[in-house]
Amino acid sequence: MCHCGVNIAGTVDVKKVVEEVKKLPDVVYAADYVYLCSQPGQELIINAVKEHKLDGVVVAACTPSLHYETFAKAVEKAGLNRYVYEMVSIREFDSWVHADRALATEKAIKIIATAVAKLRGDKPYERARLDVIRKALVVGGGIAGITAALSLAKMGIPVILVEKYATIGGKMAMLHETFPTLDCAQCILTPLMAEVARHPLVKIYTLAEVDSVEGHVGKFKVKIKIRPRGVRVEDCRLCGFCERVCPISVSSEFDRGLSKRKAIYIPFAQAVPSAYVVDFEHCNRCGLCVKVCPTKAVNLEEKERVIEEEVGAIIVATGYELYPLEKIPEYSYGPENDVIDSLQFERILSVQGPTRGEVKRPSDGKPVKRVVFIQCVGSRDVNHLPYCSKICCMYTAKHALLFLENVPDGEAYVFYIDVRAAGKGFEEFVKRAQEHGAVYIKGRVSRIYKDKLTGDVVVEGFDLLENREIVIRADLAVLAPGIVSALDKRLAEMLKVPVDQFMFAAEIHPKLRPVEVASAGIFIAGCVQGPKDIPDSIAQASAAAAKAAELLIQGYVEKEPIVAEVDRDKCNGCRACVTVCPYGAIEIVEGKARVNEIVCEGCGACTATCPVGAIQLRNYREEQALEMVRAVMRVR
Amino acid sequence: MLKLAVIPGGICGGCDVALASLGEKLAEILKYYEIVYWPIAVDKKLSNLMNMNHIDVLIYMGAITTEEDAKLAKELSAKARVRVALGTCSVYGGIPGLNALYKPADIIKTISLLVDTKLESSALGLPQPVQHMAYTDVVEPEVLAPGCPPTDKVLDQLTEILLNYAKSGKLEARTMLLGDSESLCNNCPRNPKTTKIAMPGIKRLYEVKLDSNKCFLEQGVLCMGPATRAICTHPCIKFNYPCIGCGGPVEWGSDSGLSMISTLASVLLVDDEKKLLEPGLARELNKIRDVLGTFYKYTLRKSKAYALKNKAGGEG
Repeated sequence: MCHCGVNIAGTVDVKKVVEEVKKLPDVVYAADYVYLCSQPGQELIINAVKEHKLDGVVVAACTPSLHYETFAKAVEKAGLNRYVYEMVSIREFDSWVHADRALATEKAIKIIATAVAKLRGDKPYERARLDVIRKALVVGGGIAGITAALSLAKMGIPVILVEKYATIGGKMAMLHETFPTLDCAQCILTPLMAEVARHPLVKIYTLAEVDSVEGHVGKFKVKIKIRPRGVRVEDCRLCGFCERVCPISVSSEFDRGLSKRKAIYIPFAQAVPSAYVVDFEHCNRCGLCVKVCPTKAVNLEEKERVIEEEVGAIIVATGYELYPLEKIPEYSYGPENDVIDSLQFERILSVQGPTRGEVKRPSDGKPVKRVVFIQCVGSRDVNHLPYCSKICCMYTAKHALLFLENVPDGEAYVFYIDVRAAGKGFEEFVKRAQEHGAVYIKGRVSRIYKDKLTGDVVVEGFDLLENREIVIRADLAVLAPGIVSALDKRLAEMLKVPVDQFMFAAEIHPKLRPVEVASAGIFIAGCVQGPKDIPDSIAQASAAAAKAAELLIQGYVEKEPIVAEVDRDKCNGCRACVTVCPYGAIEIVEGKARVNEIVCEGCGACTATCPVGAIQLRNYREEQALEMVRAVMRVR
Repeated sequence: MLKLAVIPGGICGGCDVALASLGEKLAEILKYYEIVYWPIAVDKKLSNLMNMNHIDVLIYMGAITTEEDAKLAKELSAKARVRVALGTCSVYGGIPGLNALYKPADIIKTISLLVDTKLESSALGLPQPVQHMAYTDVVEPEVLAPGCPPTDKVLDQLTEILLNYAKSGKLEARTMLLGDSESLCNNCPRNPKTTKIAMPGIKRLYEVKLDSNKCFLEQGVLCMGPATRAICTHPCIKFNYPCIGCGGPVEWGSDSGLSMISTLASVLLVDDEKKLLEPGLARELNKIRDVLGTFYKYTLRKSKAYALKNKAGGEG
């Protein structure tokens, strides 16, 4: 028992506690020391264990989160197993929160009595040490995924990067310029794309999706389904003959429907891998491309394949999508109505985009002179997304500014609820847009429609500050839709990534552990965790890579043996435990539950749910808990 | 010949019928035992029984509802070498045990409102009611044979015990809870899956067309099977009717209602928890009509719920 100077001894009569504790059943030795965590204090424990041949130790001191490990090491040094040692807090739970010396002393005795009662049922266990496969999987090839993959590769760790589309780059590749510095998105992203593609330790699979995940931290067996590309990457020279002869024309995903592409196409000039791709959904198998290809790179017979990889850690960076605007019919979303979303506007601004950077109306190509930007479309709306999508205020300011620079005689109106410009240089950036002439109107837009007679886009809203209805006849309306998670339920379940109600991944601790999730060995980066801008995504991806590297470079994980155990005679196979287990550690084998000791984190949810008491947490068994309660009741 | 007495307390008669339906096995038992008392089967006087010095095996059926029941149970049990609590009323208080939350006088008052007859006990010479109890609240029987009524499985085990005792004069263990030490899910005939179990809401039987091959809980119907001792071969479940828990808890001393409530909390609307949040879940839980009658239909008298209520001294 520790005095902790006067921290404990000031309020608790330590000598009396020691005398009383000595009277407890099975206690053969009890002593106190002024600072038990000091070297002589630890020696005291070690000597007592050896001298009295103790088979269990209770330390009553500060809090286990401070010194559990200190005394565990001491106990191990004395030759005992660390799991027959209990530490209880008589400082945080007693001396610091009470003033009455007699009562605090009594409470200390009670606390120690419970620990002694629990200790009686404690059994020694050994920690399992698991080898970790020094390889990582990154799911999602956007800026977060690319950053994480590159960071790991530079630390010498082989990385598998899986991307759903035909190229890596993600949403950032679609952007024209980035706030608040107006860096060209392509110019800063494409060198990274090329670098990650070139890196010998990174293997990129595009058109690929995770098909199944088995195993646990250190050893995940991942099956990856790869759709056919139809073009051999190493042979494609980007001559574009195939594209010219292809008779099929469909709308381009990359330009978000504002331009056409062929059924054999390259998403954008700097795509990685740098090769054409066949859109098998629209291809009519006419074979013209096969005929004209000078390197015989086109193969329309290519089949889908599934490959298997083993990795030690997984980083999930699946990014975001825009909130589906069909759900807000009052805004008449659609390029044919000249009501477009923010990413479409990025494409219009882009010199590589459908209008080569000229701001024209999608419907008839008329130059745009007046634009209305609408923020919080779906976001901060109880009927749609209650949360703030964080980046819309800033990119709308950017859009307004870029438009006004592009069209000096243009007019830009911005409907906003609040302008949230918290970030380095953000507020100044919004000011800059306003100084350039962007008119900010505080209020919601109630309706947008296309006036069929004049071709104008009519935006009806309410100006809160002037307290009046406002109608703007514009050439173009740009909506800033909310951000939704692109993580799908199946993938989340396979990876055992806990999600919130909006399918954003739930981190273990929002402050202290922002890139880890409850399943060991899985990390998150970018918008999968919540809406965020490019700098935040990159910072988080770097953090996720660092956390994954901690695990992978160490080469092994030690597993706490305090896990749930099933009494297979009692178990009735009702599956309630399978349902509550947050780690997916329990499975039903031959009609009874079985705990995967490696995956189990010892939370105890299953023990509380079991209707027959068949599943118990090691060293926290029901009998032990009852003994502890009895001990409290007995001590007076 | 050993002396066997069958004492009825507050019973419905189901246990009598179950015991009588042993048929040939009863004849086998009677090779070793003489029935010294069993009102529906033999014509023996209670006064004779009271005068006997000892009884070898006493089987007590039903709950203790009157002073007379309590007196008989105590006095006769003291003379008996082996005490058997037969039927769920005797072991756990059963359905009469639901009365345990009310004072006897209040129960009589309620009944008086419903029927014409004056229930002035003393005037009619009726026994005085007591706070309803299980037989096990009065003595600690050696054999506990639950079931409403006791099932073939339980009665076969009881027969075996009686015959062995007659031959060896010994019992295998000090307290024997009959039935199998597992819950009904273990051998459930409803093709249990191996994936997680999710209850889509709380539904009453009339609200759902039950699939006879699918777990009741997964269809939204409360089934006490997960927390109920396997004393039967799933007759109700096979008949497309959920278990209502007549077998009591899996282990003697545990609380099946409480176990079931915590299990329910874990599986109810498990995929929608984040959407419904606490108010939504509470609304769903409020759909359970008669919580005590659902989770403690047979075991209220021996439950922690009753113990707490009793300690608090509260009423109804």
